[in-house]
Amino acid sequence: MGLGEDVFERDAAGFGQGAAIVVLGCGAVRGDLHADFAPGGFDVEEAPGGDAAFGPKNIIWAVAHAHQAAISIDKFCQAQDIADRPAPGVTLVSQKMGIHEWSYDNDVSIDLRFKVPHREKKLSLIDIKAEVELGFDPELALKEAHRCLNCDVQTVFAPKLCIECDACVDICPVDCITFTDDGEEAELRTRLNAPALDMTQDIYVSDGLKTGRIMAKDEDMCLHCGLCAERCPTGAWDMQRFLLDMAQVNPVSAKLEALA
Amino acid sequence: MTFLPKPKLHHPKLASNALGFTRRDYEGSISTLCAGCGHDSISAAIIHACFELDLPPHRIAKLSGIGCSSKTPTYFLGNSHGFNSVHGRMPSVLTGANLANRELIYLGVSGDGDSASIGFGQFAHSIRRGVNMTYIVENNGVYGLTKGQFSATADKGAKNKRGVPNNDEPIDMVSMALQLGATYVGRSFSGDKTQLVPLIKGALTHKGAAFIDCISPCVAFNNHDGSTKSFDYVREHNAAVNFLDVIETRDEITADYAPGTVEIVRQHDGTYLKLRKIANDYDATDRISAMNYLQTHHARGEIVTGLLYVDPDAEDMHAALGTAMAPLNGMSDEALVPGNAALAKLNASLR
Repeated sequence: MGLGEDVFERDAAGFGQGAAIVVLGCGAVRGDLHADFAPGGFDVEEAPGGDAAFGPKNIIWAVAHAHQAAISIDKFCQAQDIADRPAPGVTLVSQKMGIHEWSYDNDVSIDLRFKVPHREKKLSLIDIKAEVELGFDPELALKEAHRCLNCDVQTVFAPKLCIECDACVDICPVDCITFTDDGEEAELRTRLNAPALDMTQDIYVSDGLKTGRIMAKDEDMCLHCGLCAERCPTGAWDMQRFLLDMAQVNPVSAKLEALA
Repeated sequence: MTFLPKPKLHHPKLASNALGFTRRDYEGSISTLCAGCGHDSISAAIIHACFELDLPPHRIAKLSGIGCSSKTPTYFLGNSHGFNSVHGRMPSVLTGANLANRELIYLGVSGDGDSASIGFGQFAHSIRRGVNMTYIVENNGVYGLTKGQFSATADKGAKNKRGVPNNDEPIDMVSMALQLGATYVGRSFSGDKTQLVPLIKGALTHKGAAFIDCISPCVAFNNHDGSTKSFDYVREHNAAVNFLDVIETRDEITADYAPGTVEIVRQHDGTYLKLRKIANDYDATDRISAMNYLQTHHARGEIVTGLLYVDPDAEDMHAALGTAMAPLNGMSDEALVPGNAALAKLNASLR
């Protein structure tokens, strides 16, 4: 049993995530996990991690780094390629509850950010112990929550169901959907209802339509308002919540493996 | 049907027209028609056409009758004048409004039930009088509001949703309009905005009775196998004769087209219509041959679309009646009610 394996089994498996943070704290691994492990062993000098490498981050990042570190250490100790990472779990779940009912709030809010109310300056200056930020009351909190961009809700297109009635094109408030002839991407981008010229932002293109045209959608502009899916007579558009599960050390399964 | 209003947010590069309006300024409230309705595409095409022509919304009057199609004026041009009239009486109300104020741009929106059944007479007379208007029939071949019975424009032999065929001969609105003397006649399809938008633009600039028959599939009751007004059927049988571009001035017309492929028609008001020909033997300024062409191709089961006929020198009803140039609401009381002396003089002239 190598040192890394020992750390992994004893700490990560036996004591859960807290232990993984300990690994990070030692400065043994870095956030992008595998590239800097020197061949033949962990090089503490060359593979820093956590705050030491990336500057101030919160506990969520620390836990994420540690999970990846633990996987790397485990792979290394078992003489496996650490670049070969376990695939993340991906789930897309339809948010449709009725004909025009979604399990997320799709009413786009145009409110600007609401400011957290502060205690009156006079009072907060007198009393050093008084909290300055009062926090949102339920009403304001709800309004602020309604500003959610629903960026995890994806528009998923099923070309087989599409009858090309243009309802989604007509309703889209930001003109991000186009049905047109196929072409090379750079040229296609200029032909959209609203040209998508920012090459760093992908466009969503789907073929398989009856007329042989393609559907192109500028994801950069999408508001996730779901009106395309509401106006779609055949359900070719669906709003699906996207969840990415990064591979993590599972304390329970690791423990079971260790016992076996 | 959607319950949420369309978000006010728009594309950051949304274009403005010469009046400083964006396309969104020409929209109305959100449609309450069935999801996927062809009528909504026609509304969008009207919005596009008015935006591209830089029409001031407050100078447009949209009139309609009763039916799914006649509900649509609520869903476009929210800042224009509107009149939702009695069933089938839109053409008559429009004629009256046009007589009182000739300076507005009149847009009549009707359906196959409203225009081909209860309002057939009104439709006919407004066309033959040459009322200066754009008359759009949103033609889906069924009565959607009453659960999909065949309308008068449903083709003979077309099957309803339950498979029962239609035994009655259809009324072809385009042939009727040609027969009755419409001076701008087009047919298009709600699923083809590249054809429909310029066609509406041409109709809006045309002086005289402009008629557009727009096939608009009813996704709820007339979009199945056996229907002749479904998306699939119309796409398969669409025989476009030309593709229209509306051009404002002569300068924009360049002469580098292959001969016979482009037809340029100068309209009365100085605008030019550029027709890119698809059917080479089709002459859009010849009414008789247009009627022949329509019948021949209809017999072959083809749906002829495009700008089918235009009379560039058309005159409207006001020219025929010799009415005053100013709208009635711009005249003084003295001019409108000249008094007993003027009446006596008129009576004397008739004795």
